[in-house]
Amino acid sequence: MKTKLIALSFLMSAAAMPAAADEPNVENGRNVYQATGCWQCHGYGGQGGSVGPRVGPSPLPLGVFTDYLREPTGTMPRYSERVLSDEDIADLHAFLASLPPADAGPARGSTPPMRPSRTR
Amino acid sequence: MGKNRTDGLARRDLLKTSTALGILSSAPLTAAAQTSSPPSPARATPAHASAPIERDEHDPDTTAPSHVFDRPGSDYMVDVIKALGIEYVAANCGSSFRSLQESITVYGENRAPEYLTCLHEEASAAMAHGYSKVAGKPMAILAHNTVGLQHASMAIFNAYCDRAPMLIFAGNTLDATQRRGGAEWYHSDSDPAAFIRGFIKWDDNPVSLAHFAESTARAYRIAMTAPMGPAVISIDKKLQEAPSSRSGEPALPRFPQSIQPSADPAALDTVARMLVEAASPVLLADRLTRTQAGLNNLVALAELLQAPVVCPGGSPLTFPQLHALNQSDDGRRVIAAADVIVGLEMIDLWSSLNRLVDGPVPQTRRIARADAKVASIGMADVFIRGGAQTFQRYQEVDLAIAADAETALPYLLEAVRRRLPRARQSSFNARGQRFAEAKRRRIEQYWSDARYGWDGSPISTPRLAYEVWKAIEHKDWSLTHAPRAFTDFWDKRLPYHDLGRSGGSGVGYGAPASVGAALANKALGRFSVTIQPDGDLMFSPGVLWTAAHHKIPLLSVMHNNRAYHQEVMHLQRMACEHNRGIDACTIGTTLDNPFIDYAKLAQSMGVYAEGPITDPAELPAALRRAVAIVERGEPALLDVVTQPR
Repeated sequence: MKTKLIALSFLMSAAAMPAAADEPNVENGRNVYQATGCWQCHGYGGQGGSVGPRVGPSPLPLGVFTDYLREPTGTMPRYSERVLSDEDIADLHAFLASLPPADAGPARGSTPPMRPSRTR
Repeated sequence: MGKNRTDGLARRDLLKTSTALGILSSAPLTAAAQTSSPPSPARATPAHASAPIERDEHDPDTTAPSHVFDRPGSDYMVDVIKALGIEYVAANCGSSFRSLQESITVYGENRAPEYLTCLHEEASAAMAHGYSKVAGKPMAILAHNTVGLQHASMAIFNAYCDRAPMLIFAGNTLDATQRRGGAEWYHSDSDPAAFIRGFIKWDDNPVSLAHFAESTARAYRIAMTAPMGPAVISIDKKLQEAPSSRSGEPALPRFPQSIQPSADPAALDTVARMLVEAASPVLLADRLTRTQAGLNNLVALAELLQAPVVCPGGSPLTFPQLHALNQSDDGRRVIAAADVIVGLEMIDLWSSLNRLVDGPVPQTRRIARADAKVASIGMADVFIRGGAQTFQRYQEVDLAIAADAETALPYLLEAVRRRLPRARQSSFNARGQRFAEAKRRRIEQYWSDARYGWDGSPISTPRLAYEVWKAIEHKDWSLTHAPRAFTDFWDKRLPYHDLGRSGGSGVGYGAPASVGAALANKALGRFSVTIQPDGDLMFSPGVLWTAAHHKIPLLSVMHNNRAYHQEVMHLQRMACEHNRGIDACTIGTTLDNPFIDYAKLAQSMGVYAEGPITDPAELPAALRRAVAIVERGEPALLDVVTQPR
């Protein structure tokens, strides 16, 4: 009986394992973001910059995000599965989604406005 | 700087004292020297100096006849340089031009031209490059022929690519029998400009003072005729140092005013018809405007047609940055929709109409419509030299007009006015409104996106750009240099509001070119500011000392991202293409362990500096302090640690 209970317990644990693995790991995502140098164009906080667009805290849906990393259309390097696994991409996606929202930014009216075109 | 004593008494005192010290030989003195007054007590002759000089007849330095005379050839050279209106010569001192240097500082009283002390010839040339963008005329540089020109060559290449005029005087000793042993041989060349001839406009090697005068005037005119660029005059040591006399010297050259080449009126009328009849015309402008009038004419042309203007990055400001018709930040989409495209002084027209997708097998993609009509006006077809691939990929056009586009622009404008159908004005205005609305949305989007990471550390690049903008917006300011796209949302309206980038993408341009531009801005009462990349500064950091020494007011705000980030991405791309880990891409591309302390670097050379600044909340106050220093007439540097790009 005891043996059966242990076996059942093991099976339950084993059954639970895939579910746990499916949970994205934000901390690993942060490490992936650092290790793969995403920050180089997208900023240390995913905020974007003069070269790359903002990627957090609302990244593209995971499927689209993964497809783009595999086959980018712009100047971004192409990340194969060997370089960046699907699991790492999921973690990376979770990290980007966890990034803080926007700050208040520049005071309203303090940035230079568009100059209108004169018409005849 | 102290005033040089150039009066006869000072010169006579020097001669008298020098004679007493045994520095000069027993050669006959000039009349002026023979009638000199006794030395002052402060210049008392040391007792041992009265001993006769022992001559070694095997030492050519003591057996050669010596001369003292009033007027070396280099004095005449200074007169020629003055006649051309050259205000400054930048140089790191060198024996191959020692006579000219002495003539500039003493005979020429170190005024117009004033000698600028540089710590590296690359800085001399880059300063001249930056200066020309503001002053609209060349600065001269002096350099040893071989070793000096090699140091300067990178900055000369940038100036050539950027169409910047510059006069380069290269010291040389052509007569092999007149060279001192050792270095003077290494510093001599039988064809002095040979190794930079691929990226200069012209050079000559004068053998007489008359030849020097003619060739220098010719070099000036060539350098200042579009497409502008550097020209080199070799200055032979013998020619500089041999005695001359005013009575025997040729007349000084007249100032060579150049009128730039315009275009065939019939060809311009054809372009006007294309533009007026187009449904979606677009104007592409690169090295177009050198003057306010040129910028005004482009604005007038765009507004007449209500046509979008796209300016590829890198040129000085050709069209107001936040003007509703400036669609540079959406250029690819605008070009893709155009049925008529007119390129104005485009250096790389192909890359605006097509793109090469990077990869193991690069792929070409057409951006412009296949049926789009294309015309070009510019001097690109007369700008091609040697092996330097400055001309980019060949672009077919329907009409290529070889002319200086800025000069041709008023005539094109007039031709468009004549042809403009009043009946279509409302459709033109509607077109303009669409572009204005798109531009307004993009500006809003930029500042909305900028809120992300706004308060973060390291400091975001939009936050850096914003804080610097707020510090200068009410001044008569000039942005001397900044990394690409950093300041795309500044209200730049005047040509000197953005002096563009290096031309040849040779790193090391930003700091010295900014100092040169700031020197020209100083005379015009303008406030000079640069966003200074860290990697760029380390190519010629000594220019900070030059700025401090000559009291050149310049605010340098560091974009210190502690790496060569563009190169990091190239390595990432290679690692990804090679299908392996990319965690080693920082090797050779990052500037850490230890970090460079740019504030201490600047302070060590007499420049006011603060940093490293990592908290954006500290930026406004630091900027206020630095601005006050610059407004006092001195350089200041803020080391700001930033996001990568």
